[in-house]
Amino acid sequence: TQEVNKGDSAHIKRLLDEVAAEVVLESGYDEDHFVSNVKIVLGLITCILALVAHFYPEPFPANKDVVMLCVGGYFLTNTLLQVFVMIWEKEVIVFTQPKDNAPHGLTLSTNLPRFSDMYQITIATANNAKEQDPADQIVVEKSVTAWFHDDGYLAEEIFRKDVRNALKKYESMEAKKRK
Amino acid sequence: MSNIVTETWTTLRTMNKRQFLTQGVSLGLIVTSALIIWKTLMLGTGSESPVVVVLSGSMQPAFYRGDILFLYLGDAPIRMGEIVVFNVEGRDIPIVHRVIKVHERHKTGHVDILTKGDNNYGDDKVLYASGQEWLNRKHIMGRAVGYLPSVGMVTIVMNDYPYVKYLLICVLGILVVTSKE
Repeated sequence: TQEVNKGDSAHIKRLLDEVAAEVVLESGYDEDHFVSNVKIVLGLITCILALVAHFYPEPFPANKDVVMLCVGGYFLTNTLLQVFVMIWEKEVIVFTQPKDNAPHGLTLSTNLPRFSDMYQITIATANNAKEQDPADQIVVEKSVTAWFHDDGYLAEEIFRKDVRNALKKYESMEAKKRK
Repeated sequence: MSNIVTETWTTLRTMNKRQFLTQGVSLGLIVTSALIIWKTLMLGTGSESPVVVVLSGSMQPAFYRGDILFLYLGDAPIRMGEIVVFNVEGRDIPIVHRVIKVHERHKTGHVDILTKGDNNYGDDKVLYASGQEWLNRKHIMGRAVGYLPSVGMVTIVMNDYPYVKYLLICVLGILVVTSKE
């Protein structure tokens, strides 16, 4: 299994995120690539605009209009990208498609504040139509010390069990609501 | 050190196409944002090259090799004593020297300019293209409006030893693509 430097909070979060995502995707959920696709497409458009501004075959004063358009376009698409990420992605690390007969997929978000050891997992309904209702989520919060050995190795089975339990709690909550 | 290399290599190999693309786009965004800042400076200062590095010692003691110069073009007429950066046909690096003579024709507004490096013995006629005796407005890229000492030495090193530049870019590129941010 994997080893972390116990003081490296970012590495800890990345590792836990990776494993938590695996657990969700192994439990019969397909990943929803919408957000990822939009980010890639918007990012590519932004880069292409910059490349056009640079490689346009006219020397400087002549190409001023093209450059201005490209620079303006760059700021526009870049802002669009940031806004999209802010509104849609937030802290979500996995979006899934609906499973079986569920009306919506779910989102897996995690949070590990800067100087804290409390890792928070939130499983919520991937329903963008309405504001996230606290009743629609399962939140599990534990100190990261619960999942790591003294020497920095991840106690993977324990962590996976915790994530699976959170997932099961979410699924039974969802099922109850649909009855 | 070899630990970092093997770790990077495993990260690259275990990445799927989507992750690779996402990281590639992130790298592209970083690089293009620098490019766009440069273009914005070009638009703002009106100069084809808003920041240049002094490559020779011909303007000592005002500027030394490795200094960074900030340029601004503007519409004001070129006057004697101004330090200008100009391009000569056939040379690909611009030259930073002082204007020592200006001839302006009242009726047409046509301007002939002669320059000379402070630290040079003679004026710049030998530097101009063959048959060219004067500089005109169209050759001028901008006037020096500010400077930073020595910071440009990095560019000079990278120009003299191009493999340093390529190595640096490759290493940075790999680091960004494999960084798990």
